[in-house]
Amino acid sequence: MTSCLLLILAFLMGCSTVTNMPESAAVRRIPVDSKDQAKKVIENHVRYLRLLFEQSRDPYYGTPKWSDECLKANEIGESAAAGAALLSVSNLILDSKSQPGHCKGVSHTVVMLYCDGQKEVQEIKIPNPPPAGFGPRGLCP
Amino acid sequence: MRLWMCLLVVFVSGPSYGRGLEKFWNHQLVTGCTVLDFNDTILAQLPGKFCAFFDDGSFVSASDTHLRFITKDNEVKWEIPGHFHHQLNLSIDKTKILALGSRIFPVKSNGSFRSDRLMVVDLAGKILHEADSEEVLKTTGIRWLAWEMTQAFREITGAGIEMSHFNSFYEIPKNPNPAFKAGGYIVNGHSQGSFIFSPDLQSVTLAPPLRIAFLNNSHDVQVTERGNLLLFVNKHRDGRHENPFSTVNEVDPRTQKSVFEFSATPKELFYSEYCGGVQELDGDHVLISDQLTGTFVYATKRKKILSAVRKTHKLNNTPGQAQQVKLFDLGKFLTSRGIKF
Repeated sequence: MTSCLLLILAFLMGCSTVTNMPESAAVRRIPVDSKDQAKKVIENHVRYLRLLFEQSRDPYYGTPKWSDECLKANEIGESAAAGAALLSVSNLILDSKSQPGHCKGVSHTVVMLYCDGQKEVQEIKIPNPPPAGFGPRGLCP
Repeated sequence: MRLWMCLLVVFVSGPSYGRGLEKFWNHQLVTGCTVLDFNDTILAQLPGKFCAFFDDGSFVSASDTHLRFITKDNEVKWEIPGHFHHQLNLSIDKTKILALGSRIFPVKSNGSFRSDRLMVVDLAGKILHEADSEEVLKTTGIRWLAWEMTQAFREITGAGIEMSHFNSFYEIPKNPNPAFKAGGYIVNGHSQGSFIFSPDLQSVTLAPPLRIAFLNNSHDVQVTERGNLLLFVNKHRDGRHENPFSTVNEVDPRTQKSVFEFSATPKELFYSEYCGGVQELDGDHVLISDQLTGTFVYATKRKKILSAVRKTHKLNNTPGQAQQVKLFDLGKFLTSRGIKF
């Protein structure tokens, strides 16, 4: 599934259409001093999501914390380098406060993006499906 | 005119079920690592099975595999491997973490056993003090439980039998009872009694046994500022040893009398076989959570439930159980993480 996400990402980045930030996107900017720090921010984000959706079981009844459907609906992308960008792309169900950790609600594409030379990592949340032509490359200057 | 009068009465008096609840309304309920408000809104879902929170947005998370400190920027600052269970608390001054862990060890021809490992950890991840239930039981002369663990518990821990089943771990506050020295710890052992530890966990004695809970299941045992014990008693039985029921009590161990008792009518309607939590909110109100049905704010003087929250036991729209539910003012924690509430 992760490779599928990366394929979509590669396709989006390969699109000739360069889009600006979609109107539906919510962007949080995280200041960073360097590319190394940006990498760490993105890796922390990915690790946090993996811990959030770590499966566990009730010790008495054996009930799983997360259903299979819920884990499928919350698909966590890897941290990766793509050209001049560092990024991760995940599909997450977010609540009305844009917080992850839910099984029902609105699915979003959540992108953590760093563009070379910038002093920030952008956390971009866009309701699914994202607008046609949307791709992180278009978001870098 | 009548309508306006009615509205005025409602406005002035407020909903009757909530009277007395106002001062807790802006606080948050916590079950495991999920934060909710009284309106059933989930404010935050955090990683782990049990969490403890700090005003700066950081938190400690305990799971089947690790104890972790996670910053407000979601970075894992440190982690301690191990199986953690039942609850995770902070010291009264919030500078130490009180964790209930496990030790798995082989026993000749009997497979693997589980003992409880108590840990006091500082906020930098340094284990300050440790104690193991094997030594605790030896010192206090209490027999091993030798309980066969559930299938799920076996798969989680890799152990088949447990010698103890510690389920709560609290710092003892200032109080007038000489049996409970402030700064030490009280740890409850399911069906084995409660243990009183020195601040360094190096010395241990058995807490004064309560008739009400002796050799019964109990959870979430705490010392109150009055020197009493507040606890969730899971299993009483009637005179014929049938029809189990639960109660929540504050008991003066010096007199064995209950200062208050919460139970249902008929009593059998309130029963938690495995879990249960209680928290003193002020001199009158307590928060009670049972295993399967909900969380209740109970006014002890009026003997009235002010609020019954069901969502704590129905996360992700799936009915489930709660080990315990607690109430905290997490306003600064949520704000620090950018969560509006």
